[in-house]
Amino acid sequence: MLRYFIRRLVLTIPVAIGILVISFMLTRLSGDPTDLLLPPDATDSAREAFRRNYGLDQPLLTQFGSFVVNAMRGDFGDSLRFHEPAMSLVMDRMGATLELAVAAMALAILIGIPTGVVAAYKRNTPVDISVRGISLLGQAMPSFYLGILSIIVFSVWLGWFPSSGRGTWWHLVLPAITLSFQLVALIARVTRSCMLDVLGQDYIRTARAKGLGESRVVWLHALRNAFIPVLTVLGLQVGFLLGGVVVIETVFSWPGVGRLAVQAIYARDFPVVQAVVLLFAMIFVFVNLIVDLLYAAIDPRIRYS
Amino acid sequence: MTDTVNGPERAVRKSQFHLVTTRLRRKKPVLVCGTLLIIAIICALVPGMFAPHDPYEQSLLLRLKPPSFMDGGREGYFLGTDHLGRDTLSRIIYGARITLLVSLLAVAVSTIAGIAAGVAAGFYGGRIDSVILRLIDMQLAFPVILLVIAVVAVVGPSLTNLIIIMGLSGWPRMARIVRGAVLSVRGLEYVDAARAIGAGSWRIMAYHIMPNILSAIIVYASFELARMILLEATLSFLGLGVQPPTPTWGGMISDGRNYISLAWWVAFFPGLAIGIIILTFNILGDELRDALDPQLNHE
Amino acid sequence: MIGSMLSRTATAALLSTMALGAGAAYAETVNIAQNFDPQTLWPNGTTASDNLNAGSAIVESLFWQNPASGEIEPLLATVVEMVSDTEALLTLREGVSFTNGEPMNADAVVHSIEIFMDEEQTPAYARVSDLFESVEKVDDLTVRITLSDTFPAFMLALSQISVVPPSHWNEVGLEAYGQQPIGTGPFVFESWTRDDRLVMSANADYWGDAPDGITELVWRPVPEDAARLAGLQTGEFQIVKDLPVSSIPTLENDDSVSLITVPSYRIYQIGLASQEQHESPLQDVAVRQALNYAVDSQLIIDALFFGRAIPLNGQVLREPQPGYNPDLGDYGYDPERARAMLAEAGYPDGFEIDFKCPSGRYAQDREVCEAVAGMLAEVGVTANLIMLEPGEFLRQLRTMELAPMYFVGLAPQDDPGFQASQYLSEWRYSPIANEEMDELILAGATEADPESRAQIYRDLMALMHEQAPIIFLYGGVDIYGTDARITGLEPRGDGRMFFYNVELEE
Repeated sequence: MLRYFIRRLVLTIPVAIGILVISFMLTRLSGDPTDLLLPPDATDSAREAFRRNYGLDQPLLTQFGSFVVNAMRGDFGDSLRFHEPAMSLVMDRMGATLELAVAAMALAILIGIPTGVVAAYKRNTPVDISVRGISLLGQAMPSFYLGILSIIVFSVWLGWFPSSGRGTWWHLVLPAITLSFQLVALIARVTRSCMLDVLGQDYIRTARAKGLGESRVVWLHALRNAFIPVLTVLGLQVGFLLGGVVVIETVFSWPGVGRLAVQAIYARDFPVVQAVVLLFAMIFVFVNLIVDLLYAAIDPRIRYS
Repeated sequence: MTDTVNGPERAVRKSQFHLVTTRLRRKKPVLVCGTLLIIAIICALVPGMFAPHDPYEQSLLLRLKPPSFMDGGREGYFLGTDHLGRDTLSRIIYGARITLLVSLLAVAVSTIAGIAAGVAAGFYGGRIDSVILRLIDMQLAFPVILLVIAVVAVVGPSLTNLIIIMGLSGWPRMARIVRGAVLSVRGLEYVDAARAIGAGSWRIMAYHIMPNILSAIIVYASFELARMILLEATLSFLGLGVQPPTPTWGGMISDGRNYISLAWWVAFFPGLAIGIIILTFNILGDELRDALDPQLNHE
Repeated sequence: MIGSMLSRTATAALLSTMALGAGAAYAETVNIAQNFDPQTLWPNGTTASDNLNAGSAIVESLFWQNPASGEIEPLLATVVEMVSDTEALLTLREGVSFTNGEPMNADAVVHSIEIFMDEEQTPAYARVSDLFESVEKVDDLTVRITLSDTFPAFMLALSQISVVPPSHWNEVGLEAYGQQPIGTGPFVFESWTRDDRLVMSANADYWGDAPDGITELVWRPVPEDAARLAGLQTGEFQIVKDLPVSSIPTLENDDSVSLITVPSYRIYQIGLASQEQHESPLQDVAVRQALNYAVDSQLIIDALFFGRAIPLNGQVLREPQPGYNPDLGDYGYDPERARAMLAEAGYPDGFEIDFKCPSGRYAQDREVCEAVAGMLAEVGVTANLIMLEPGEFLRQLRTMELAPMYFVGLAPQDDPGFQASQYLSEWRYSPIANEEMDELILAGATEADPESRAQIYRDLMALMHEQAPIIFLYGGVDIYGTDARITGLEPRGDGRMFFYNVELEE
């Protein structure tokens, strides 16, 4: 178990290095931040001064070398726009992003799994059909459109929720629901189909034959076994969530990492882009590692060696 | 299901195809969705036959006119006009072409890349497998939307670039599915048998492995089609989708979003079109999976 | 405000008590929504208006250009006396001190001007400070500035020098100062949660007239247009900058908010590059003129900007600017004439040309480009639209890869000299190389006498009108929305907002 864990950790190293290299190349290819951070009619010597200040005048290979050396120590350089260490800018906003992502994930689990179970149990009844209909609809809308519509309806017309920003719990409602919309639908669908598989298995019949209560059979025995694929999907969807925050944070002015990343890409703020990409990637890798470990906890038959 | 090398296997496959199609034809949702999909495809192929106007023809004097069935609507503009006075209906019809084309080709790119990587990893195993697995991990961990934004910002949002980049963003999942499927059939007797009678790697892959993982690929691809349409819409929102004046549904929603309170129809109808086509892809994918799933054969 | 809005619905009753409690405490808070969070609050750190607006509420400059009068008026300096064409004596305001107690005097101003002249520290202002040669203290309230040449835009430069407390600056350094500045302005820095809120409180010891009824400013970055508009309508924001054009009809009918549209200094144009290295039909002046006849800029103004954008009258200088030529007018929409001129120039069937356009850099940029391409199609010119992401667009502008034809909105420093110099042959993104124009541009740059300078620019405008290096489209419009209780807010055409005469009524 421990050896497996360590082996997986070691395997993330080449992944991290690969991501660093790709993000470095991508950002350098994308142009010169000087064009964006100085007015278009800036003088040539002012442009040179700016480039010198940020080491942009160095040969690419030199830049890459010092980037790698510094990145090893967790130093991604200073943001070109904010003149602060890029990693600390990102970490400052991580709280807001996690708040949003965790809320959306919680909604997805709390709403998606029970509806999926009910839909499977009541297969081909109106309940099932409406759950499937709604969950399919949820996956059929671009999230930015859903977000803007919800601002207009729930903030401007009804006045129930603030239209943007972060602060009270009320501020969290619209962005979290919008972000979780597709996820709830997906989880409900996956749960339903896994439950259908499980409900047809022999051991469920055995459990029923033993005279166990129906709800106990469904919620305990069946769900427990259906949970592994659901968990896998949840783990993979962390990547989707981290991508989703990019749009949702922009629409709802949520002060998180996603919005920082988009603006950093547009402004060619290389250090920040690199820090965000690496951080998101590492979160994704670790969440999925934890998901792997959870398998063993849920299903004792799974052993890692 | 299949345990001999040549003739019988093919016969089984043929009857399986028959089984699947009859099973699908019996379902009402499949019929409805199939019809909708065919309509969309026809629109995409010959938009000129249905569109009442030229989708590019603009008239600033006729901008933001409501649909003809509403007050103030104008005859001949059934779904109203957009912010440049172009006919919304015609743009939706022409938009079907680019929207479907982009998602179809992007899925094709990701499927081909995914199959190549997945088959290689599953079939050869060993070092190739572990290298490909690391690449898959890397790509999965790289936030797709940031990757796409960064690349599109660099190379520019031309149609070809978008298709390639969106497609490459989807290959690792496909590769995983294919690799898993290859692993599960690799050890089966008929593959060993084929090898025993001297079939080469390519032959084994093409004749014995691919047919057996095809259903998994088709089902996954149908969901990917829906995802690509949404991805293009999201890119349009960020200003990096297919560029004007070419109409795409995602782009139309994105352009219309500032006019929602002034002229809701500009964004609403393309939104409806996207919703319907994605529903269609998802339902068809679901049904296809049910129909292809051997476990359900006993029902 | 939030409270009254929420209580409209019964379901939100619980919510509203909560919000009302908060509302009472923030009664005199003004929430301002801008597109971006500032990068730095030190006004000389950048030229982006979202940064400057927030920064200059704290850090003041020597003079300011008052948008109400259009004149450059005293702020921390009271008088400037030109001893000669290249030497000026600056008299400072007496009895002003920074909020950390340091006096605002000649030492502080000399220190600040030295920073302004150093292009390592203020690269964004290097063009304005180019002709500054030296600065020295004469006495406690007098400073001498020496210029290397006649500098007609000297006053404009003085209006951009922000004055910082020297001991504090030397203690914390440029970067830290930008994050938590100390100045002489009407507001004092309180706290800043990045990308979320920047809070300032009123300066109780402000030397001038403090804005009435405002005890706190909260700056909020809200990138999505629809969300800024929504926040204004719900009363979450009292001042909103850069509203989308499509909000004009909605806000015109809303009594609880005021709609302020400001003619922008930004001049929108379609560059028609005609230099030797850019081979295209645009090298022929008749073709460039024909394209001006082919584009109905008035219709663009009326339809896409609800009539609020400004006609250019066939020149790049605006009405009150010296050098504006009243004899010129718009080319006018005349597709017949355009077609005839194209035929005469050898293009009876029109031609095909690449047309580059930024996507998301300017208000309505995509729409305008699509509209222009549509109009050109009418006269047989097929313009292949190529949309560029804003960063890529700026890169191509610098290297002039945008040629031969591109949409751009140019807003240099507000002086005809800076406007004109963008069409100088040797300038990196000039669309034209014309010796006659060059002579006028260079003459205007160093002409000290205001009247002869204005005449030079009037001649230049006439020549440029005829040479048509651009399609003259429109002057931009900036759209602000405020709570109806706010009075006296007069934003300037370069996106700048000041609080000098602003009031928040009960």
